[in-house]
Formats: sequence, structure tokens, C-alpha cells
Amino acid sequence: MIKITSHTTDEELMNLYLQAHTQAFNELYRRHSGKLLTYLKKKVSPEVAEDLLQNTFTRLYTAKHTYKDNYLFLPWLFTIARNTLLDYYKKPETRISNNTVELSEDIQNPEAIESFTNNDIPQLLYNLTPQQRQVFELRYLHDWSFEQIGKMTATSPANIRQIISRGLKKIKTIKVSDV
Amino acid sequence: MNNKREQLELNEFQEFLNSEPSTPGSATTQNILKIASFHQKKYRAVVLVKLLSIHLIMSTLSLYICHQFDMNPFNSAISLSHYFMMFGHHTCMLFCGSLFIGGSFLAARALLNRHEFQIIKNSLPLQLFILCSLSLAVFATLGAHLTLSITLFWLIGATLGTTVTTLQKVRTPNL
Repeated sequence: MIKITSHTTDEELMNLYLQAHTQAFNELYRRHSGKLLTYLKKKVSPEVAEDLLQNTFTRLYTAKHTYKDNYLFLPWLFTIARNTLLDYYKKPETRISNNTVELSEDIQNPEAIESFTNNDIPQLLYNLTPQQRQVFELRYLHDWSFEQIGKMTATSPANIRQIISRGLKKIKTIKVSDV
Repeated sequence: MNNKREQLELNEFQEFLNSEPSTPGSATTQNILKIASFHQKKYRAVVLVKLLSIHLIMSTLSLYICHQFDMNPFNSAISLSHYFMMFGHHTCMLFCGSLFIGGSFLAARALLNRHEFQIIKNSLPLQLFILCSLSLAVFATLGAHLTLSITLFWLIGATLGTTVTTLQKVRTPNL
């Protein structure tokens, strides 16, 4: 019988979990659920975050065959959590609150984001509203079309362009003030 | 674009690592642990079903070359038991039990992945008991004449065969 202690590494625990040791799973959950929840809470509401936390740990079972011995456990877990989050965004019932945006403002060139450096973007995105950030991530990091994002968020592609346009304005303002 | 995505993911991962843990609700924790426990039970059951399936095939095939308890469903002319009997009836039963059950564990070792086989190893006495009980029950149902002494030797043979085929440590990296 293998004893699980605080010195047992995550990778060892994952190997034990693959051998159907329930205690190994419990220990992995104890170690990482808190930080994962904090991460998810930054992306979605606290209630949804708890649901996604549950989905993430449930996926440990279904995705267990994708885990390889040479993997580090934590990045692998984080990838599962991130994919769970993206799947949540893709769900048709997922709605961005307040998705009606006035179309009076000029739509600017969304490709302007390309002009920022790689290091800028993650930091700049955190200055946007959750709504804008979600749209930006889907558009620029996952290469979704305006139509796809519109379908997912139950709003028109024109509105998505508008959301991006406003986000870009905000980003530019931040950039200018930084300079 | 890929670089930007990777950079964002990296930053998010860093942020995740540095974040202050928050406590999940007790209902959420209970749900997750309950689901995990259910999955683990299901996983063990799946492995057992795989082992039984392998045993069904292997044991049926083994009857072709080794007639257990004088059972010859394939009417094959040659049986290893003929040679085993040269060492006496009880020794023959040792070999038969060893071949019949040990062969299945050997096949399981080859066919299942190392984690699944380790699950079998973790509860080897139980798995052996299940396989032997089912096998003997089927033999009895099919009319085999099972006496205490020869059945006992058959069981000893099965245990020895299983021990030998599962003896080598299954590779468990990082452990």
C-alpha cells in the first residue's frame, strides 16, 4: 500500500489516480481546487466558476488517458480547466450580459490589435470589461469569425465589431497613457 | 497570432500559480469527490470486465490444448494434460490450474495498459478468487466431476500460475 504524504508529488499522485486510488484524487483536489477556483472566478461568475471547477475535475477522469508520464501535472490540469472554460463560452446558452450595444460609434479597424507586441496583449486585455475580454479572446486568440462569436453570444456580428471597436479604443487609451 | 495566444496562456498560467486560493463550497467539494469516487469504482469495474473477457477467450482456447477436468469441448486429439498426467494426477491439476488461470493473467498483462494491470495487481487475491470461482462454477455446470482434493490442487496451481505471471513489477515511473 502506497502512503500519500505531503511529500508525494503531483505527478506521483496522478499515477496513483490512474491506478484507481481515490485518495490520490482527493489529495490533488485538496492541493489545487482553491487556486483553480480563483482563476475561474476571474473569468466567470462565482456560481458558474464552481460548476466549471466541478467539470474540470470530472474531466480528469475522462481525459486521464491523455496524461503521459513525462507531463507535469499542473500545466496539464490548467489546460483542462482552460478548455472547460472555453467550452463553456461556446455553449449556445451562454450569454454575455448586456449584449446590446449602440451602433452609433464608428467601427474602427479591429486588426489594429496586431500592432501591439506579444507581451502587451495579455496585460491590456485585463483592462477590458469581462464582456470585451471574452470577445477579444475568441476573436484574436481563437480566431473565431464575427459571425461565430455573434452566434455564441446571441448578438449580431455588427455588435461584436462594435464591442471590439470600443475595446480597441480603451486599449489605445491605456497605451497612450502608458507612454 | 499563435505567439500571442501562447503568451497569454503562459501569463494566465503564471497568474493561476500566483493566485490566492479560495475555498470551494462544501456542496461543490462533496459533489466532486462523490463523482470521482463513482468514476474510480466504474474504472475498476471496467478493468474487471476486461479481465473477465480476456479470461473467457483465453480459457476457452486453452481447453483446446489442455482438457481441464477431462472436458474436451473441441474434441481435440492432443492435450497437454496427457503429458502432465505422467507426473501424477495431482501434479497434473497443478499444471492445469496454472495454465488455465495464469494464461489469462499473462494475456491481460499483454493486452491491458500498465495502469489497468496495476489495478488488477492491487487487488490480485480478489481478482484471482473471482476468476477461479467463476471457472469452477462453469466447470461444475458443464458436468465436470470436481472432488475436493483435485480442486484444491487446481486452485494451488492457479495461484502459483497467477503469482508467476504477475510477479515482475509493473513499471511505475515517478514512484
